[in-house]
Amino acid sequence: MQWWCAATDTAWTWSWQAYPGVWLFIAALGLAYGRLLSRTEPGDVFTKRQRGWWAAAGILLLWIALDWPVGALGAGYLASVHMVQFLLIGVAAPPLLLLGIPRATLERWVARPLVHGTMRVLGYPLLSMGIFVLVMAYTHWPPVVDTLMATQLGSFALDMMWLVAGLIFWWPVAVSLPVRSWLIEPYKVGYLIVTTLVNTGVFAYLTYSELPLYAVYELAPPVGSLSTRDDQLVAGLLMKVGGAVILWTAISILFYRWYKRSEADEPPRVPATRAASFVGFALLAVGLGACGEADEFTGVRVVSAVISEPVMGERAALYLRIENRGQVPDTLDRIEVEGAGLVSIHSTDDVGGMMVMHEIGGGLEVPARGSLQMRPGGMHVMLESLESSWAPGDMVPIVLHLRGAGALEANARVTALSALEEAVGAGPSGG
Amino acid sequence: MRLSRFSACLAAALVSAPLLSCEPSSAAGSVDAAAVPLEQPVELPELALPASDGTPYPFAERGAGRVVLLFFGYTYCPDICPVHLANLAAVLRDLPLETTRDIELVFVTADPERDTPERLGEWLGALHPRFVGVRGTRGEVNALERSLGLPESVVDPTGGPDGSYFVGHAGQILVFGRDGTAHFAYPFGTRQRDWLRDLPRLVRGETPPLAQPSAGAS
Repeated sequence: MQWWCAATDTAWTWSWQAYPGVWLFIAALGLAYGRLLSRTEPGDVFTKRQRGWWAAAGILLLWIALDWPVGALGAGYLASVHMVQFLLIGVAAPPLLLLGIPRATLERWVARPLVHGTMRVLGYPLLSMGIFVLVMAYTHWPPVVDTLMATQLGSFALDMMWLVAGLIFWWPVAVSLPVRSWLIEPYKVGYLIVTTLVNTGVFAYLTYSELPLYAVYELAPPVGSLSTRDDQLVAGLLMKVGGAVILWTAISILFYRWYKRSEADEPPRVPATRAASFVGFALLAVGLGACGEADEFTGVRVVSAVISEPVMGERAALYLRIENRGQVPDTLDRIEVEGAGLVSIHSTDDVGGMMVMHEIGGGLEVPARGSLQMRPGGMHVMLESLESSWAPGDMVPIVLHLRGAGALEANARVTALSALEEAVGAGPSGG
Repeated sequence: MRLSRFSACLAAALVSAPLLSCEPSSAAGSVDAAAVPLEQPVELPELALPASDGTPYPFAERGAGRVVLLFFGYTYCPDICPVHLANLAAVLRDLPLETTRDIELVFVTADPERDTPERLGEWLGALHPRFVGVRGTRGEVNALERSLGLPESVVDPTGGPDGSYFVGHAGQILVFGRDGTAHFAYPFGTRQRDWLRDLPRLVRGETPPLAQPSAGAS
């Protein structure tokens, strides 16, 4: 009984074969996701249904890659199909599987001390990319392929190595967790661009090899009229083209999200107009190992800053959303706003049906692993003695002085009163 | 987590995997040698059988002063024959003419019932235009195999429902040097890199690296 696809010396036929090991694996994965998604998780960036679709797509790709005929052809007959398997198992399915995990579940996992450390380390792009590249090189090394593909257990191990390496590789991109708040879209884009270059290395190895590299495919019973060398060439091209299609799809999605984010009045993140220069920077940062950039983001950051259009040119209100992704609370002591002589933090309270506004002194706490959200009718920053008249669309430099994080610079966007509610409330949760 | 222990075991098993492959257990996959010495050297036969183009093919006469690669197989062969010959053909296309013009590949069909001269010529021509196909009666073919120290080819009686059947035959390619004598053979599992390394040496009359004789049977 064949449990898992492996190389055999029997001639290829198009008659269907059963691989119960593959079914068990897929069923177990499906059940695990079913359990994960059965709980209601409020406050997720994706709905449960969306998570379900992500997971289902990932599991489906795995199933296609592992079961007959793709699994059988790839394990013992054609290097090109073997490459399709790699692309499905190691590159395409993992991000979908990661996106299928509810955010709250991930956060619960990550909250465990041991897991927290591991995930934090794996979230480090250079390391996760390094692991992926090492596994990719190891699993394409001819003695390894020839040895592993000969047995069902070896073939299973190779598939699992791809899957685990793929999950590690996509972890920093597909999952947004507080432990890595600094890893924003431009870095992710840079990370993926660097990977496309690495990808080219394997492509070159396969396509410019004079001779067949893998005994398993060189000596396999023929399928169709594809020669061993052409098969290997196709494998290399698939690696290049297929890998690029998947990676550039992800890059496009990230670009789009990045653009949407800066459209949604989140100026302190990265304005879309500086996108190109940031990609170059990200390439350098990731490619040359300038990982020290991680320290620039202290764990506290301004998610959104919106100034209401001044009424009568005298006073205006600033609404901030500050996120603290660190493990300790921080305190906002003071705010400087360019062009405002007087800056004070106010809160509006409902006292017996009457709205009473009063100044908050002595600093404002930004809770650990939480956020501070100001909004019209609630807490706000009062700006008085304005030196210039602001119009909607203007960007006003502000500096937040925090006890722990120090000075945080940001730009606040002046917004028309009519669009204020939307602008203040538009900040996505950062997922 | 249980998963991490599992993956640690898996990682250990995987790292050791290629090390196991370096054992010289399979001569076919051996990096250093593909040719397997014959227990008894054999001579090119002093007989002629009809080639696929209808002309007689006198083995000893045609092979004189050349390197002759002799293989028994059949065109309906699903695995060994087409793969073994395709790998050889690919390398022959890589090598310069001054090397390949002194190499002759002769394919004797072990399935004369189904391998008509036309089919034999067409099938071999698709693999390499200079491959020579030879036919004989089953008795003639078996006698030839015996004289060369090879097991006799046999029709597998358990055929398919559509009348198809397999033929059991020797998997190795015998190599006769310029003196008309074969001292070694290349079993199935010989790779293109082995042919690329050994064929020029064979043409120069040198002995290629030899593997353990025990692995020669197929």
